[in-house]
Amino acid sequence: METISYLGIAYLTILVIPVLIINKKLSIKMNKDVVISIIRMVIQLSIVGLYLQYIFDLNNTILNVVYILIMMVVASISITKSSEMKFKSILIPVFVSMVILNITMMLFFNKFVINLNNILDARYIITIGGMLLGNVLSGNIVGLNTFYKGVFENQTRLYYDLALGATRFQAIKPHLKAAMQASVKPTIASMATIGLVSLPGMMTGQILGGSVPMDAIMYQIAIMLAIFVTRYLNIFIAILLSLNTMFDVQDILVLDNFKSTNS
Amino acid sequence: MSAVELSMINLSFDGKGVFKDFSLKIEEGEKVLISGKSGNGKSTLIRIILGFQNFNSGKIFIQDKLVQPQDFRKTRNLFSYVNQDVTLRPGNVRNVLSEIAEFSGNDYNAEFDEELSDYFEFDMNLLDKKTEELSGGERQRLGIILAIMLNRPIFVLDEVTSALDEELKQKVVNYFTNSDKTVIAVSHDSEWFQRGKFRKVEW
Repeated sequence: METISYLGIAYLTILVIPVLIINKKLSIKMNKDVVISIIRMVIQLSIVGLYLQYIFDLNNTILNVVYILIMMVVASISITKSSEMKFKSILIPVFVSMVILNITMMLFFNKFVINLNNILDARYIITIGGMLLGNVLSGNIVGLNTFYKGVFENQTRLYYDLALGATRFQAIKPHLKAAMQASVKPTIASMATIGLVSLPGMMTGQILGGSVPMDAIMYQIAIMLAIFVTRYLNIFIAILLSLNTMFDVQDILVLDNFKSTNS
Repeated sequence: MSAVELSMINLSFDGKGVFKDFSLKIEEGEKVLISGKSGNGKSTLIRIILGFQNFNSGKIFIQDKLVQPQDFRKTRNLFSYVNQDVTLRPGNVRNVLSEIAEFSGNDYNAEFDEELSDYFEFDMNLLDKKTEELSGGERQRLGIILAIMLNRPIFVLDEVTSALDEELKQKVVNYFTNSDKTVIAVSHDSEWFQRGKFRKVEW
């Protein structure tokens, strides 16, 4: 693969200048954000590049597992922050569901799909894991917010259903269904259109890296299936686990768990 | 036996007291009308009885047994409740009703009761509509019929006649006045206490 030099990056950076000028002329207040974002991207990715190289060279099983767990902690915190619920109420359910499902899926993928000798090989577990986590992250944010927004806004109906004989699960089921649909909808849509408009990033990367297209395609199909299943199961389990903190023993929604209860 | 007994209930929201040492005893088979100006906590009282409202202190007994927080899931199934807006799930009425019949706490004849439907002048054709298409009065009658079909010992009716005309209000009140079961009704409608069967509770 042809590598990109610093000069190559510099050329592209020059192309950003006209954008900044147009923004300035049209007084679109975006320049500060653009500059900060580009700088952050460069710094963050450079750091990732350096330590990934380090981790790949070491390829120490324990270190790989720790690295994956740290990724999951960061992802869980990020999901919780983007949700309408307070930390203490959903962080643990989100983290537990993520650990169980993602680790299972990563190991399954490495063992049965790629057929690796070392299923904890850094080069695979960190990259595949990262793709899965990134998708679970957005799926969980959409799913949890859809679910608890629905529950919060329809409390009267929820309590009516409970009074009419529903168990907590039966009473929340309409919102659970909506949340799961909202959560995997983007993945379903992208599976249906993938390849028609653009080539997915992973495939592009593999082809540029020298893989033949058919090999790249096999990886892409496999990862899409893994993403879909992981995302689906993750939101399902995360919601189920969160019910015990979000509702009390009388099945009353604990309003104190919401960041703002007057929305 | 008493159906429901509240003893020294205290509850305040954001420092504002709703109930202070509130006690109320409702005997089995008794008809009670909870009345008074709006905002005095009538619906809150109903929610306490059904276990949908935590309170600061006090005790609640249902059928003479002290109810602990974890018991409400069970005691709830002793009440046939109709809420203010009859907030049934969206969807085809028949489907919604059969979903309710399949709720774990239920064991009643799910076939829609035509006699009740006649009595309350509820058009059976409405069953093919969507719940969200029914008018307020139609939903109230559906809620009432459903509550009766549930066949539970205590009725809890929160403003169930507000959208009905005079004649229907009278019919609903007559039905519950003549029922053998315990009836706890919240209402502003005068029809409820005309027959002298309902004990008025105000505060």
